[in-house]
Amino acid sequence: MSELRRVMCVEDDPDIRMIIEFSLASVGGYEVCLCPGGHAALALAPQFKPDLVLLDVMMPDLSGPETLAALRQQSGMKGVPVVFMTAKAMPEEVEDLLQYGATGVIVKPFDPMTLPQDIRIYWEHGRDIAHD
Amino acid sequence: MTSHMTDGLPPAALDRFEVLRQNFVAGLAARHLEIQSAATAQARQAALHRLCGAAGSFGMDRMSQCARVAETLALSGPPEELAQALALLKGEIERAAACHPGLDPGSSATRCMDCGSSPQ
Repeated sequence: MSELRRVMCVEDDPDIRMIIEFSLASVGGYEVCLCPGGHAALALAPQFKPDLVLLDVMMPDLSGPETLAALRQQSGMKGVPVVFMTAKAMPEEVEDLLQYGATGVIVKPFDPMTLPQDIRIYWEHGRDIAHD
Repeated sequence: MTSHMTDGLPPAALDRFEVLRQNFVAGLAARHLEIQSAATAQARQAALHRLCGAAGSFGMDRMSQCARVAETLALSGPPEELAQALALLKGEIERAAACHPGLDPGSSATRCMDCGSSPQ
């Protein structure tokens, strides 16, 4: 995990998926895999091998925490930083999300121009934890 | 849309962003219908939640805030407050539709409160 290149985005809202893809690919220059839900993420993660997963919390098929728990069961996904995205930004809710094992939480709405930098900070933080 | 969001983007990326934003605005009527016709309070809350996140990420801050207020009221808020919040949200949706090309020309909105431009 020497460089952040591949980002998997799991988000059920199609407009938000598109703006995330724009942000991460056009602004950030990352290779992006878009997933409309948790089941798709679980199916695609072994092939895509993301360096970081950006994961919506509220989704109709699998919730973000459920998806994170299932991803952690996959070989190669145990140390991959996962960043939750949520519109619920109360400090105690953020703390709850971190308890699931996420590296960070990004609050929606996000700024598509700064999102690539924001996730890089979390990726570096996650990498540091993995090396400790 | 606040112009500073896209400052410094190359023209091709700017064009791509504008297409995405227009697609989002074009879908607002369907989102509004989903909110209005939701079968349950939970479904309405979920639709408002998605709209809150999407609108704000496209720079439509007022719409995002209106959706967030309505979302917080959707499950157990006083019905009259929810109705008021939904009316404000409807106004923001109409303004956005009137502001951006090819969208709901019959709207009574006068200007977009987010980007400040006049109806086409």
